[in-house]
Amino acid sequence: MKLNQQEVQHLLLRAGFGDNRQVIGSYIGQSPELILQKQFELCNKNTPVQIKLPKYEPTPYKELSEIEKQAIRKEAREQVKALNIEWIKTMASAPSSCQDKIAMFWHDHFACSAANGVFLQSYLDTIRGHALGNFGDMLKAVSKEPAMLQYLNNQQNKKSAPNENFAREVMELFTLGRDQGYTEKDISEAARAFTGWGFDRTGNFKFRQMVHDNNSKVVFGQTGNFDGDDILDMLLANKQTAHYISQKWVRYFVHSEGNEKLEKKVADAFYSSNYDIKTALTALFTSPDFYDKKNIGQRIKSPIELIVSVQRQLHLKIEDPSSLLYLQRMQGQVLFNPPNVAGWPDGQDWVDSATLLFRLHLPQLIFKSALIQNHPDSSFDDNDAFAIKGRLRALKTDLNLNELENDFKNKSADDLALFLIQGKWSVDASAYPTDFIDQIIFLTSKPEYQLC
Amino acid sequence: MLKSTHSRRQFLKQSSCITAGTLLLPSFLQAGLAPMTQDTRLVIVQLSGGNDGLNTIIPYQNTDLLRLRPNLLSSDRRLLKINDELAFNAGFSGFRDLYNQGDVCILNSVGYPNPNRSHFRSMDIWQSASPSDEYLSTGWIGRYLDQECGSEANIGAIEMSDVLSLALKGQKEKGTPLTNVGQFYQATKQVELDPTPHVHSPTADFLYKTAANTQNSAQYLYEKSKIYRSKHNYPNHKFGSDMKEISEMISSGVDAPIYYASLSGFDTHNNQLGRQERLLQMYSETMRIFADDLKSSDRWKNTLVLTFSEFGRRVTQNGSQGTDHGKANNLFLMGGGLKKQGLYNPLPNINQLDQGDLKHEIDFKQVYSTVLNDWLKTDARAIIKGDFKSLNFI
Repeated sequence: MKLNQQEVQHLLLRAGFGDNRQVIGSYIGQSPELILQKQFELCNKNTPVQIKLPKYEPTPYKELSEIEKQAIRKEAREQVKALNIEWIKTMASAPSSCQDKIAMFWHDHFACSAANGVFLQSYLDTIRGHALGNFGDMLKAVSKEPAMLQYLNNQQNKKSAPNENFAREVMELFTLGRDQGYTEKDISEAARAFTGWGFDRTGNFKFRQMVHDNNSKVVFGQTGNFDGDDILDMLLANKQTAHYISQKWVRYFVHSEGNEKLEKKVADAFYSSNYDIKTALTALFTSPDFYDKKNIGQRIKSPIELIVSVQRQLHLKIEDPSSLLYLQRMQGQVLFNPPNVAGWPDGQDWVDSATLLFRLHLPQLIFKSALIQNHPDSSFDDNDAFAIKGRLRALKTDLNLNELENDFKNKSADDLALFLIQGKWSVDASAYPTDFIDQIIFLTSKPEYQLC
Repeated sequence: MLKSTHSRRQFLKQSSCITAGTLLLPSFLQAGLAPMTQDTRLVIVQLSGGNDGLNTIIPYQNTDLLRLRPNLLSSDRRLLKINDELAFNAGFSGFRDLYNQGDVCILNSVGYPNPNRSHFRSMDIWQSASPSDEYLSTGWIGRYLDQECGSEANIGAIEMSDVLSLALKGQKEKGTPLTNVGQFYQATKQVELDPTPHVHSPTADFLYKTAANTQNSAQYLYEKSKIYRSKHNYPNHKFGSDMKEISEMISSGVDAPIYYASLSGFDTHNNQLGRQERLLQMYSETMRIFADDLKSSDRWKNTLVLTFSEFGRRVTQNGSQGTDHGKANNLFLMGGGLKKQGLYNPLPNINQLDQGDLKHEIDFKQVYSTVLNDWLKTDARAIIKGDFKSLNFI
């Protein structure tokens, strides 16, 4: 299979966050296998997303004065915010965005938030590090992340008083999916296996033997003195896990309505490769079904997809923290702040009258420095890491017009449309403005630009 | 009996939401075509951040209260005493006027089982009306719209915000967020929209339809809400202008049954005394004017205002003269059509606490169910999970 321009764009917008015209052009006529391989190779050169972390404070938190505690909380807020900003900047600037797109999928899948920069840094390292690696390794690593253990209350999961939250979500959300044959009894028995999985203040996983339940448990019909890793192994041995993840992938990367045939194909590749993510996703992105016309240009870009892809496509940089927070909050998706443990609802849920107007007006804010009229609600949490300081008057953006014009030298407005709009697009040539930037604004202001 | 309930519901289905198709008709035509509109209005006011209800509606004679929170209560002289049991926060004089006029019903000890102390999670629980161990991606008002509105997008609910809250998100229907009708109208004018998509797909159709409905709603609101201009002097802050805008929409006869506004800043972990009083004063002064305004346009009797916060605060004050996140809280109902005025149930018992927190006696979902069944005249069972017997306030 040789990909045409729209198909290359389709692949790079779905498997990544899109790319500029030059990059797209370099792949036209190549096979999806080869393009993916090159993209994955580029990902190997990616550097970690890293923020400056605080020195470990030896005094126990409880013994600190209120002023010291406040200072620590304030510093933590700054770290959480900094990590959010650094990650978006990386998504927008990395040579290949595949790793971060898949990591974004995992952030949604292993939804988590924390008020602690050290914990979040470690969590992000894990989901980025394993994004294109092995799912079993990632599942085990994420399950030991302080951010996740805290988010799902496993720090409180003790032999004397088990807390089932983690055990329930690991089955319902991370592996098997809801109502997939396990019972309440399986959950409470599995919770006993996870007793004692906790963390210390410095952000290290701690197995606290003293509060671990060492007695025999019965989970999924098997009896033994299982610990947490045993439960995770049992979940991985169940092919339903491969199927559940594949189902989510197809809905996320291909079409929200799903595709049973493709899901099965991807699940088989996933399971038989012992959960190798690259193998499974290669099966997905190289399948003819993925390139079916009905799958192209019909996905509503998530806010993060929109914010990042517009930068990657158009030689644009948005690096100002307030601008980036503003863009996330106005559209209802803030990294490290999923609405709940189930992650972000996708698709039409992003669109209401306000977010749609905002999206259609966004090119004016980006390319014309239009004054900002709408603002997110003031935060009601004193400790909100994502509060915007002061009132933002306009977005701070940096457009490399030379590079952009270079991409479209001697090209018509139709070429620009073919690049910016996915799907069969027909507009009379006379409708286009004459000025190049106006043409870009014209096209990116169309509802069709919200689709990929 | 059953039949008449059914036809009433059918009737409301047509009337509680304006569909985009009818919006652009000249009003004289609409009057002939559209059924008579439902009269009742629900206004929801969200106090974001967790208002300390115990320092709002105060059992001031309780000696333990002073012992547990020595720095939170304003001086005895400034407290607004109602009787030998109850006093209002010093910032609540407008509220006291409404209370004395029989426009207020206070529900004490409202909450839900297994309460959550996170702002975001608890707010989601209140807005989605989910049990605390379940996650819903729709809100209770959104599900009301789903149930009562046809397939066309509508403006059944308006939120005074630039961002739509979970409460107003339904599966099919969504509320309309705006901060100012004029600005909303201008914003739709700024965007040039073609009537039909240039790419053919169901999602492109969906986006174009949403955009067209937004434009129609904006135009309808812009034209309709000009009918009544408030002469009342609302305080000069965002909450004041939000409530003024709502009052003008209601008094102009805008055909949306639900309005949503919020006031934030109640997360008073430190120096609570002055901070909370200022916020309560903003709320209470605005609400008194809002009530006066609707009374002068004869809409108050058909308006119900529900004020809530995502949780109350701990009974014992913390080390920085503030309070940390708590559990049960009070909830206020206002309007000219209250069946029960004053205190609906006794003030919370601070001598019987649940690990330092007020215990809940009324599930907020029971309050919602009552409002849905008895005020909005819909069937709450499909909107709120669980079968809640109506309370007796409307």
